Amino acid sequence: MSPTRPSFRDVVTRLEREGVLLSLAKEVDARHLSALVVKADRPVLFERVRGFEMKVAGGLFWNRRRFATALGWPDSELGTRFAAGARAMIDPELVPSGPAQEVVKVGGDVDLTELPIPLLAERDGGPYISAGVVIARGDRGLNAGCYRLMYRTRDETGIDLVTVSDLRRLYEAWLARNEPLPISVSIGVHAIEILSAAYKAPLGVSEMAIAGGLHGAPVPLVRCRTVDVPAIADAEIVLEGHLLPIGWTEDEGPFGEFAGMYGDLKSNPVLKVTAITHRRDAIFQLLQMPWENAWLGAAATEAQVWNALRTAGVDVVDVAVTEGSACRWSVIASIRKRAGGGKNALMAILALPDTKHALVVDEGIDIHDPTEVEWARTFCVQADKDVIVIEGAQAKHVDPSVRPWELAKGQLPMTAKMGIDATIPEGIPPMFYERIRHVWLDDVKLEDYQ
Amino acid sequence: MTAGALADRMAALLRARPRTFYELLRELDDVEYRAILQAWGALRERRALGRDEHGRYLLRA
Repeated sequence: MSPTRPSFRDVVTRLEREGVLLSLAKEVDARHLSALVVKADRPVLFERVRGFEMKVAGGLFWNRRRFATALGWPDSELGTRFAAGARAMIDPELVPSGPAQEVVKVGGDVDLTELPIPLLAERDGGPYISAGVVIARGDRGLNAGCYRLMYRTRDETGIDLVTVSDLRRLYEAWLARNEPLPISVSIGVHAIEILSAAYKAPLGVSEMAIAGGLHGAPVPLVRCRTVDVPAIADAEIVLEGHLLPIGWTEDEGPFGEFAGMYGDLKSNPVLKVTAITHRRDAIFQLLQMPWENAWLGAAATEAQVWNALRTAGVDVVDVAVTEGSACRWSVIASIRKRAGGGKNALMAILALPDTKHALVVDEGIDIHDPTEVEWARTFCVQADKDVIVIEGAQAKHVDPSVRPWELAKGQLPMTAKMGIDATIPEGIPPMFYERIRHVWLDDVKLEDYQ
Repeated sequence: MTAGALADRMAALLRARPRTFYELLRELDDVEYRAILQAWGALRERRALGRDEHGRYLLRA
């Protein structure tokens, strides 16, 4: 028998036990879920939502610390743990049954309004399911990804398939045959499974096998009741259905996206839901934009930076994405520098497709402390010597500063990248950077005087 | 109020001027959220919803 790994339910229980979950017993209006998740200083479990039988959990990935806590990892090890786990893939395991199918509703009993699907942002095109792991069967095995689903009717949602993805490629192939593509959507799964699904794995690599590697145990999958695709066996809720072969024809969005700005109204396909299965006491997970989605990309980005720096021969100490850059556009790294190593590190980081800004500091700087980083940027940098700018690099449309609206149809945006070498410059004796140290710091205890 | 009647009320609001889903929700403060989801589904099934250039909903003529 394979080793087991914790489920979403286990994580919620653990957070409750550790006292880091805010459980609200008072009945809430589903209109207010979004605002309450934003205002809470920790993850929230809404035990009673008016008009719904399901509980709601949100805010589990709102910042680095909460995301790491949900994963069960030290928060300084997102990138290194992801890189190591992703190398040690373990294939998912098909199991005969799972709690995700304790309640099964098919055909005319399908009713998405049983789910407390919240409206997240003011300009959103409707309520959104934001924490779904979509599984489809591809030519080279199972494909998993995270896709937002906009509520349309009791058995239909929109799905954003505008961006290039494996699911989009699959959908195009089925669309060409005028056939509906069967998929499952698992909602309320372990953070590792969402993290892995959000990762753009190389072609032929199963995201659920990566999740298995990160867990150190296979992800249990169960056969769906109405479509030939599996779903995560201990998910809280599973939607089964087909992406209709209608192409990009139905309105979807706008949506407050991971970069903290609205994406446009789009034309997209539709998911026709053929079954809803769930636990008897299911918890609906909401991923609140932008940070809960942004943090999903953090571990993979940090892992890429670690790999790039090591490949470039840089002695890397620590790597961190910054939250304000949606956890991918801006990267800070600390290194043990050899002469010229700061610039080498910048070139390696900026070679990655998503990275727009890079800052490199010496090993003594705590890159998770903004004051320390600011100190290095202020006192180690001469802008004419230590700032490098690379013009005409690959960019993404979501960044308004690349003026995507000025591009011709099909033309890809480009950006300027910037690197700041905030390591102590060559030629300046380290004594000039000696930090003050307060007297008797190791000998005096505040408690002795309280 | 039935989902159909509430959908009619939503249609009247959208006929008056284009609205975001949020603006519609704010107009229907007296209605339970789930009833709004049900009525919204009923309204969509009438295939009468359109959008303006800002993504706001309107009723197609």
